[in-house]
Amino acid sequence: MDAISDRAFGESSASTAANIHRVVDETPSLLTVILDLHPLAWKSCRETNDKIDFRNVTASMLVMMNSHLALNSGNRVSLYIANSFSQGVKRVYPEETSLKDTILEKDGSLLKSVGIYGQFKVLDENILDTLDKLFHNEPERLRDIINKDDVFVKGTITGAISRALSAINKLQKHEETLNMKARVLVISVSGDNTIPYVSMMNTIFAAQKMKISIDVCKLGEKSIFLQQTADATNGVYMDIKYPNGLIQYLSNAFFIEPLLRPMIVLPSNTSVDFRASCFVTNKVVDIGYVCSVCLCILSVIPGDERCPTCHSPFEHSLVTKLKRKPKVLPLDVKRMKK
Amino acid sequence: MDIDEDDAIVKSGVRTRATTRKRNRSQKIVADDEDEQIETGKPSALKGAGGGYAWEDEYRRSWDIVQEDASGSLEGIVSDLVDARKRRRAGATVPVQRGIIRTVVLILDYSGVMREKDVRPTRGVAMIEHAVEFVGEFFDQNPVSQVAIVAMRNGIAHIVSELGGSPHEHITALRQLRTRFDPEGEPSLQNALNMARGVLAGGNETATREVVIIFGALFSADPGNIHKTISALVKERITVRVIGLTARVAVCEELCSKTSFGDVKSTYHVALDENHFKELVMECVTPLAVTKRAAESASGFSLVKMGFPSRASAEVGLCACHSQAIAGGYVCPQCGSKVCTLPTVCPCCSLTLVLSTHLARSYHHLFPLQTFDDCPEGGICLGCGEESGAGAARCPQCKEIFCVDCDVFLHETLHTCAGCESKTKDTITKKS
Amino acid sequence: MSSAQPPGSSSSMNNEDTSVDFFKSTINEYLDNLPESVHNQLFHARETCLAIFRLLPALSKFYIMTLLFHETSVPYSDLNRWIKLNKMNSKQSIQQNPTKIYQNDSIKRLKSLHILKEIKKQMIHPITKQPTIIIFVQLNEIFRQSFRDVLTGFGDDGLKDASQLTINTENNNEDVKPSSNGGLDTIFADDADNKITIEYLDKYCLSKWENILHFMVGTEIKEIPSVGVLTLLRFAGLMELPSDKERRDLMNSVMDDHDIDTEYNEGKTKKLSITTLRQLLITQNGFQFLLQDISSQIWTLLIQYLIMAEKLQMNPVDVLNFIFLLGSLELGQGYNINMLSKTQLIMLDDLQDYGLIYHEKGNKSFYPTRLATSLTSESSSFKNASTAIDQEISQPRNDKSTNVGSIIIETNFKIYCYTSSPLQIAILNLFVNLRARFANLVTGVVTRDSIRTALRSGITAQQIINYLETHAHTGMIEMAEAEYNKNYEFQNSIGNTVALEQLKLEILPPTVVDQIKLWQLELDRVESFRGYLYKDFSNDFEFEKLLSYGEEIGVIVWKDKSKRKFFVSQEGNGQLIEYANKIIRNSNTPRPATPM
Repeated sequence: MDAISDRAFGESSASTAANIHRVVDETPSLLTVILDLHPLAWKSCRETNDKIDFRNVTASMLVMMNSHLALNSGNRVSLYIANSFSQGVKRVYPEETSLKDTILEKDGSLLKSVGIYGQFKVLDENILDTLDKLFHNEPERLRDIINKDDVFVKGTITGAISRALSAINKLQKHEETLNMKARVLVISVSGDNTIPYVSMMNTIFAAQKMKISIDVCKLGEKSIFLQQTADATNGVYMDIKYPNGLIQYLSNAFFIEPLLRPMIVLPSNTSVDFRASCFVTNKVVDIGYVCSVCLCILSVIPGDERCPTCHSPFEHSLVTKLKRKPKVLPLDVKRMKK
Repeated sequence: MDIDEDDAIVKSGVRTRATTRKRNRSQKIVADDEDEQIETGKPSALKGAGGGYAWEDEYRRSWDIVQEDASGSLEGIVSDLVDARKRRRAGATVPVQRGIIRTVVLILDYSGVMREKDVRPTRGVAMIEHAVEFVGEFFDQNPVSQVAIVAMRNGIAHIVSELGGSPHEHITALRQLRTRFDPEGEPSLQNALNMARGVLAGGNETATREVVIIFGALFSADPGNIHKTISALVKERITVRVIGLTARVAVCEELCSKTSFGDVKSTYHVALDENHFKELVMECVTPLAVTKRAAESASGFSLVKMGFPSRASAEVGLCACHSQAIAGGYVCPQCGSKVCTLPTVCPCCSLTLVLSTHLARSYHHLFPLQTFDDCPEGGICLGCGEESGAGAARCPQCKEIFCVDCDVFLHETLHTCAGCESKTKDTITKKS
Repeated sequence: MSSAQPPGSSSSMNNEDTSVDFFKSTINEYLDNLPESVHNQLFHARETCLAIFRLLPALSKFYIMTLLFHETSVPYSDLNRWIKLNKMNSKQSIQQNPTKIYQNDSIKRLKSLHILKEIKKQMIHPITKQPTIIIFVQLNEIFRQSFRDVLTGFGDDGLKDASQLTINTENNNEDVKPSSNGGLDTIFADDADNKITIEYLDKYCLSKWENILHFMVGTEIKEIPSVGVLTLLRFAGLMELPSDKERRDLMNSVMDDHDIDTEYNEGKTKKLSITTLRQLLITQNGFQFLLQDISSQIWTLLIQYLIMAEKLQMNPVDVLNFIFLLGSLELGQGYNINMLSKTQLIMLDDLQDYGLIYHEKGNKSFYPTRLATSLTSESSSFKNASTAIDQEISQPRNDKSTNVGSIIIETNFKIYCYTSSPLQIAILNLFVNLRARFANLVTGVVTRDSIRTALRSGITAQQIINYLETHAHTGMIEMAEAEYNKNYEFQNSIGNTVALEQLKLEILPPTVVDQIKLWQLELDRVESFRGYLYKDFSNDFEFEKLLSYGEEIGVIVWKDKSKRKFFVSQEGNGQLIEYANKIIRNSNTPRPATPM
């Protein structure tokens, strides 16, 4: 019965290649960059490795966004900042209306280069000006926080990724940009302790469902969560060893368009550690016990037979069965002597 | 909803369904009140609008819903319908304890009744297509669970696919069923339930045991006393859900009420039309809430032992589950044998092997996202940065506004509020 | 054996190309054929680099970006290592793999444009300790530098390019520092002319362009395009004079199409009077031209202009640079003409005739129109002249219900097209039997007769299909994408790589596509061959001998043994005649008596 739906005119592989040309070359795509502005993390990075300079990083990022726009006239870019103490998450480009009001008059723009393609110029100028404005409030806020002890400010990278994903979702429902492909690039300097686990997992699964790859460019220390993110969404994760060559990393490994991803070997390592850590002892577990109510992972059975997070009692017989040690038969010493 | 289905005890025709649809729209509040008084089977359940019997109501056609507005365009009506549908999906969310690790047996009615064409193209084909989607979604939402599929045909129950955690196998088995066999004969509930009991007995002890039956006939040809089977099911703590296609059947009603401790309302549904059928099947994907009675009767909750394997080296070797040569794969931490995909049960030491991401997938059931409040004045949507229009919603915690599309996206796909995540709290929390 | 060629096909247009990529392929061909020195000259201008970059396939762009910030050269084998090859079943050879073909294409393009250079270095192999030659690749230095400048911007260094065009005309210094607002400020030379708004430019360019198209189709228009335009149309082979037509028919009937009448082609560039040109009629290539989308059309004309310009001794580098420069200018801004070379000044007038530029005589500035600024955009953003302007107008109303210029075709061959432009309706009329016309909608049916009329005028089925695909309604594309995704998931999940590779986006219903192709095949029932018919043999012996020899060398097209006739192809005829002569000579010489 299926033979009737077979095409009368088949296609040779040469024309399939031509189809690849048509689809891959002409589809526009959207690049969303998320820039991590965690002030304390930047400071510690600067101390350990003075090659990491915020200006350099921003400049490299701008060139990369320019080159993304150069690929295809239908391409778009957007930029979010995250982990900023005063702002949380803000969309820098395309501009949010809330930012337009806080204009500080400046004599000239920060953009030094003079002759530049019009489209790039608009983008770069806007971003530099907005970043400049945003930095004005930062020092005060920082002063407030540093003076208090025991500080833990919630990291907002997950918020940035969520906003980026919902913007992409809206774009894909809009008539004109139906077939726009999208990807997200995260430039991060802060560690895993700023990332809330549950919401991060939710964003990963949402990105998986929408088929959006999340690439991670990590300056500073390694991060296991971000490694898992990149792995699960078919993205690229790289620890940057030589930050002054950042532009080369960006134009090389992080420049793979979504439609080219099936064809190009991705430069990530495959030894991502997916093991969980125990909720109680924080050690990495190979074999553990999972509470069926709240799904928390334990490496040892708690003494009071209650789950530490949801306090639900465990069935006693089950616990004894699990605690059982294997029965060891005593060796028959006499027989051996003979 | 109950009133409408009780009416369907009368042999359903277009009339009854149309009637229910009209009443749904205009008299929803009334129906809700009456729900509370309803116990199934009482004559008061059959009351129609205005107090008389349902069949005495005026005949309403389904196309009367569509009306043009003043300018002659249907746009207003269409967008209203679309919005209403979107809202219905973002359902009530109260954190409820659920059974996350599940074993589900899907029983499909493959008897001669399924050759009817009232659901396109035939009932049997539509049922299998929905079953395929169900399997896909199910493993997406519950990666640690297992499914088995049984078909009732010619009075005998056949196993379509064994208990397993890989969606691929189930989907291939379903497609084979569709191409090789036609629906035929009589359904036998007892045989199918016994087979389900057998399958579930071999499964994980600590998981929830569920059976979902898609039943299209109005009778069942059983070899023995089905009530004994039902008592056995209750003893083994198996919950049964039924999706009917024709009308409510008393046997199914008893089955559902006994196994779910009296909660027939949410376990036995009859499909009103194709879309509703699909919705009902998809409802079974979300984990069932643990009923109070069951919670009280059990002495405690279960603690499951699981392994978290790491990746094997990239050398080529044989996998223990299929004996196929693969490069990579995972190594069981308890016995050291290689398995090719996760999640799975280690074939050597029967340890459940999962990745932490699989567990994380079910978190959103435990920490669901609250429904947002309506905010008719609108504003700039935080998700997309555009004007939010009329259907805006506001998160009660962070007070951010979202438009309709972003609202649906947050509730269905993302399960976290983008606004709450974007704020560094002003009050500083201590490091835990 | 020569197969039939459709009569009158000129060699300049390749019928095999799909018209969507048509402009890309012609401009690519043109660029590829230029020598290296010209390429190097072209790469000095930054806008040209950007424009050429955008025309490349995606994989080539990836290679360029990778090598852009690399200071050293990279081994050639690395380029291959970055590509994932699919798992192939044993039947497919490596040649057949579409990914591999795509990769080869991309690298070939880079090499033919001289962007990618190969360097052979001799190194010691680490294991065998033998000196081996390893091929390294590197980007063309000039291209690399210019492209980097495009991306990062640059300070003032006196090189001539777009920013210089707009420097304050009051300062006569060459390396004056621009104002603090950066490069592309525009300063109107004559500020009183405030009427040049974007709407005005749009109306202007579209009226010019549609004028040309209407003239080709033959609808009544008030003013016909200028002499320059008409000469170009004639040169490009899109239209011809009646005298041209007679000449062509004569040529076709006498000899085969290999001999090109060069004098005739040269004569085409002569400027004839407007009255003679009024009689131009559309050719088959003209029909094909009409079915393309607007970017392809503009590029086709520009390429022909380029070829014609070379014959008129204009510098092709300047011309190309100016064309690409136009692509990067901003709509609605006026630009100074000070910095244009002589060639480019001549071009101003010509380009105005096509509607690419607005320039009043004596004015010091020119304004690029929408047609010019979208030269290097993707074809999908600009389907039809009237579509574009209607989109512009309808946007403030935010009227989502009208979708202008979109075609819906059903499986029962009925067609619905939301448009009100007479041009599009005229084009549809070429191959669709239009039944009803409403205010914003035309409906019709695709019938065997309507397609046959189109096929007989020289339009191919592939072109009709491409036209329908490019102008399809967004709803149809959505449905096709959903279907494609579903199939992709399914094939992926069951691991069927063969079917996976054959998947493609089916926008039109397959019944319609297949049926149009079948109707085209119907016309090909009769295949004609050129050759010689041999008949009236004097004896059996001759016939048998010649036939068997002919069959041995494989030149017999048809034979009939009962009637003692056979037909030999043209090429093979010579050999057969030689053989026949040899036999005759042999039989004439008296054979010596065989010694007993």
